[in-house]
Amino acid sequence: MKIDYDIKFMELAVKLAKYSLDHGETPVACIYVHIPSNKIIAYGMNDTNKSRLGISHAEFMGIDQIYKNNFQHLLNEIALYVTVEPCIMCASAIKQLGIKKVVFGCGNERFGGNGSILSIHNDFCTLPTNNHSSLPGILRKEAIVLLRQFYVRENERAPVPRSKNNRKLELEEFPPFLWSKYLSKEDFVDTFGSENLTKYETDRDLFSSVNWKLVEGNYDNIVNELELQINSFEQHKKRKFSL
Amino acid sequence: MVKKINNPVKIDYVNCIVEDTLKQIKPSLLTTFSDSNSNDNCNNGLDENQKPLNFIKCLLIQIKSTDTPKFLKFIKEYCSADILSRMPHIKRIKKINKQDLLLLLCSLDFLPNILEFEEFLSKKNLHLAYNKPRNDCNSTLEYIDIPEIYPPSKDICSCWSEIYWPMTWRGNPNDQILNDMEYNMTEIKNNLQLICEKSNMKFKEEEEAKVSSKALPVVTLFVNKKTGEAILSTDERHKSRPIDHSIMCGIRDVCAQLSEDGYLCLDYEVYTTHEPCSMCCMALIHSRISRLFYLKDMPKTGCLKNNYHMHSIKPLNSSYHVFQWVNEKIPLAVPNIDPDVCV
Ligand SMILES: [Zn+2]
Ligand SMILES: [Zn+2]
Repeated sequence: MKIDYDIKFMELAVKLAKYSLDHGETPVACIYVHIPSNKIIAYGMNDTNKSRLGISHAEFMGIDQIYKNNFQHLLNEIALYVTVEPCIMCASAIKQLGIKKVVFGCGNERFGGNGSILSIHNDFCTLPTNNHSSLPGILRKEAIVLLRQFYVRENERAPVPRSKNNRKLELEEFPPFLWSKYLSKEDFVDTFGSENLTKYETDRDLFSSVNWKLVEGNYDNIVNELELQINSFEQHKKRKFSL
Repeated sequence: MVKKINNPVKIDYVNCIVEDTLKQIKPSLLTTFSDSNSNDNCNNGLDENQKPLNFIKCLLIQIKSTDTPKFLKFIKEYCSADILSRMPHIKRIKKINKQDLLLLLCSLDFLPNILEFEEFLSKKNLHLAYNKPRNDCNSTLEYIDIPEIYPPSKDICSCWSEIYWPMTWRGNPNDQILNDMEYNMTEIKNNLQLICEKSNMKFKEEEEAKVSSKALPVVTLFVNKKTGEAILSTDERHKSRPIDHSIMCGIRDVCAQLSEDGYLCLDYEVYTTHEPCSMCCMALIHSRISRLFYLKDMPKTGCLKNNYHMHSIKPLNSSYHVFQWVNEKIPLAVPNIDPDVCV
């Protein structure tokens, strides 16, 4: 499929989000990929709880890394993979930086800037010359499962915890995904093929089942692995320039 | 809180101007991007932008009219933490017939279902008689959706009362908001004058410096309401990152010196020279500021007055108030900026 690479990178973002969850942060994470070489050049995890800085969303943490590693000249060859739709602030930042493409899992009902609340990625008041393409719904259910686990945990600390029966039920059910909020029919067919069009029309996910193995795994090594990949990209870049 | 008539501050409630000097950039209470999956068949007669955007799901029970005082006492005693208790315009009861009425108990965030209510009663050893309400088709009707926001006009109030649930019109809420706010006019003027001077100075400096990458003359001041402490920030994008706008830099500076018990920018008010872009307006929501004052419009890229009304996207939970300096006798002029630039 055309989106095989997109799924592969989103799986990494989901693993990183699970790592965040296991370490007490909101399970939202992202990966930045250099499109021409298909190599990872940065990653980010939500850090608002630890830092008390309301703007340290996963996307911003990744941007910090891009600048720290001196990859900023590559910004317009970069794709962002993030488990939850970027908020309005992040969508605007990504656009102002000239990033080419945004791929996300589930929608962000409260603050989403790539279709849920506003469509910053193709609006006229945020540098319209920098419009980027936006691809929603990749591993959406997996992203939702992680968020639910986080809220269940928060809820257990609350004075009136919900009963366990409800919880199991909730885990198996997912709200419909309103593709048309995020993507035109033409763009959908272009990416997912006309054989999947009924999913667009009936608000269903691309994959009917949840990859439980992915969301239940332990990824304590993921940060090391990502660092190694970023290192290898740096080497690859150096070699290219020394030639 | 003073009565409108006793307020020493001069407020033009029709045009939303305080002391002929500060114009409130009004929140658009009803946003036009309404939810497409909202329940259409119960919205007859309302045009698209009169529909509430969000609802609160609430528990509904049927009781005997004579038991009303008992139940109202129960709500007062045990449900004060519920969001409904902060919405006095929502009525609690609706008559069915002479003997029976419907009672709006609480939101589902407070008690998720009738079983939990049952449990709660037995835990407190309370005996209250009620039934599950039934709708016209005789199936049970345990929950009801209540509009999350206060109705924006008297007409809409009576419309919503019929469609959703009875509510009372308690006057224009914005009048009350304007009336209840504190305005230290001297302080506000001094702060705006300060950033205005800094902005003009910056502009002159950059003109004279003749370097290729010039700093934008945008200046922001974060003022702590409790301590009076002020943090000044400027636009830093010329140094490396195009997203280092003065507001983003200011938020980071505030966070860096946050005290042990400080939380985001909760205690801060913000003064800025130019109407901020979509990124900065949203960053201020995430940072939970309470008020913003600004001087100059950015018609193409500004997202408070000229686009989106970003400060009011989610009216109840996360919004800040915005005022623009409009006093023509004391003009606070700042340099022009390329209209396509996001500030
Ligand atoms: Zn964000
Ligand atoms: Zn900005």
